[in-house]
Amino acid sequence: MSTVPVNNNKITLRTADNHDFEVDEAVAMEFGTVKTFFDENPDASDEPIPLPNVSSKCLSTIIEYCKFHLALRARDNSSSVEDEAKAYDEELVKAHDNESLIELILAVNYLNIKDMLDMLNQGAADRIKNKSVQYVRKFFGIENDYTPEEEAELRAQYQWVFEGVDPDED
Amino acid sequence: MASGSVESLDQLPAALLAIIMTKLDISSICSLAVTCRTFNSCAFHILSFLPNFHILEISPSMGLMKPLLPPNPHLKSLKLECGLSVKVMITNEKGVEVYERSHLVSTILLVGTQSNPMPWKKSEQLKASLSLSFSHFSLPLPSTNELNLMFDLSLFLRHNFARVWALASEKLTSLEIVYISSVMVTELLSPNVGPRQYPDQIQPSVLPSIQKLSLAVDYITDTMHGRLKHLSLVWSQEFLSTYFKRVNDLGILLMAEKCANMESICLAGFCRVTDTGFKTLLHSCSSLYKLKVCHGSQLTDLVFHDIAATSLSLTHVSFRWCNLLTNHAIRSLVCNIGLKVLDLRGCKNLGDEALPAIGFIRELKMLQLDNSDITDVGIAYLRHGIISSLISLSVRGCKKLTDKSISVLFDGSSKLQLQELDLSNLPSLSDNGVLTLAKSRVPISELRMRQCPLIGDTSVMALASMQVGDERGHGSNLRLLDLYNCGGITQLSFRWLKKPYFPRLRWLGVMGSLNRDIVDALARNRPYLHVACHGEELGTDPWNNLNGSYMHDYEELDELEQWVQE
Repeated sequence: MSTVPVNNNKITLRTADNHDFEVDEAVAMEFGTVKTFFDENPDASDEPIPLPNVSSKCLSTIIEYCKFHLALRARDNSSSVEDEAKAYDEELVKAHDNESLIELILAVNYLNIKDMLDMLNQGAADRIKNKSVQYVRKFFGIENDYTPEEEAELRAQYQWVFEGVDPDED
Repeated sequence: MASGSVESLDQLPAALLAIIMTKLDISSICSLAVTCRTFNSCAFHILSFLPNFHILEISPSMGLMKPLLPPNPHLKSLKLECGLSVKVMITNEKGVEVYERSHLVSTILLVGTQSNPMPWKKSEQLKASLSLSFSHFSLPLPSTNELNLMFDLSLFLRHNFARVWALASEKLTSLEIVYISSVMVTELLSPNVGPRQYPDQIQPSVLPSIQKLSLAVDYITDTMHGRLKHLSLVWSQEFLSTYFKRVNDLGILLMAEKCANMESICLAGFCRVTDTGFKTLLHSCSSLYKLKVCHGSQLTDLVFHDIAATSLSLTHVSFRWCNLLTNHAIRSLVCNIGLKVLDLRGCKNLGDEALPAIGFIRELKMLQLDNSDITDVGIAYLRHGIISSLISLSVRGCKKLTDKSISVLFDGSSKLQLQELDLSNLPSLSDNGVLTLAKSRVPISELRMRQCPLIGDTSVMALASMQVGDERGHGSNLRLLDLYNCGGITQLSFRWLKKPYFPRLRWLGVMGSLNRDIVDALARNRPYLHVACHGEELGTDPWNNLNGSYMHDYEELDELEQWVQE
């Protein structure tokens, strides 16, 4: 998009809960799904684009992220810019609890925003690193489908792993 | 889709799950495998393409490792904490085959690719019998083009040795040999090695692609290879420091002339080489980025006098026991602002005046000032400059430092990344200093306080209750704690060393004279804790150690270099 002269086209995005968000075209093109949509339908810039898998809360976070990083990239490539980006990303991940983080990941995955997805995935991985089995189950919302004997056997096999694990939070 | 509800596993696509899992370390992946069947198969699937397999928390046994190593053609880096037993591992196209031989040679053989060189460690069991036959290993390993191959040939019989190298792949680019006699070196580097495979060739070359050559020899000859990029020549005997008496400047000049592409040089024990020789090295090897000199007893400040005129951008510099170096040299040296590792251990003439200059090296990751003349005043210069980028700091034996240096360095500093701290041999360091350290929440994982007479139980308690970041665990980050010969440690400390304190602790050094029962009880309570009672150095030191007064050898530098560049 950097070779195209900046135009002030606004694109409307409609979330699952029927809120409309108006964004600059440049920001919307960060979303892989939107970009593909426009590549295939170049005349459809007036209609609001439906995003049935994204809530308005998520979309506003995502739009802020894209705006911020676009502005940063336009400045220059110095290391201070990198530091700022890193700090922003850390704050973003910190501000979300586990559930909303997963929700955000799903939304970003649907919208196909590669960098943000990578960053969020790393954030999720950091969250579950060295955590107990119960914590991870709760984090992903999964059921334990092992019998007690099977689980005990697995735990015995991986006993060395559970030495340094954080205790369960309540 | 309802917003705000708990997302269930069904909605998180398997591909995303796999991506998140690949960002985890091995122990977390194993822990995930226990959660449910889907994750279990996902984990196993990941282990078959994970490029890095590192288990550094414990010393895994064969039985433990086998299920974790399915055939993995993408495996590039294999790192294991091997403790005292010796393992030999080879990667080939079928996956990893592990040969465990605990009665074997004193070095561990680990293989990887060029970009992830393997560390080697010396076990305490020096054995004379060699039951390792090289016919088991196919030296041209099919799955990798570039190999790092390191082993101890001291126990090889001479005639076997020549045959071995004739089998060496032409693609071998890196070779490190420890304790090799000069005769073997000559054989290695001369064209007469091994059976003539090409009788028509006038000069079959051995190891034609070799780029990195690291030899601990007793005699250096003139045969050097022009394509050498990394050279390490070390005179090494177990408990003596000895020297290369016959090599003087001329030898170095010749070497510099022939090997102008050198990227890293390590010279230890060259007592006859003067400033001229070293200066020539600096000026002719323009790609040099790593320089290590030990026992350079004639190395003076003049070497660095016009280092700014060269186009060198050194990143790793080590001058150990170069007694003639003064602060002036450091001030000139720091024009290499890309320095990442600075090792000035044993340079007794360095003092506070060198520290402001060091404080300017913004990207410095590792700083070692053992046995130098610095005081609390000088340390303050590090605070404003580099303390936020340092990962490893050692001030062992800087006898003038007191508790004040801890508060000066760490009080109120934010965003510290320091992981390793060595405060051994500081007679003025007391519990108050450690209390300050604990309060400052530095995320250290290795803390050494050997032979500090004023350190006592209070310090252990302070460290046990240290909280870092948002983690709830107490003393949560420490993996290594060395309290050997600390004056005030009593049985009380051991209560604080048991679980649930220090959950990640894997290495502990204490005085053996304490009640043996207590130490044994601790070992029973914490089966994965390695307790050292005889004063041996703990864990792994990423810098090469060449002094016999330490009892262990340490890992090669390259691992640090690689980690630092991550």
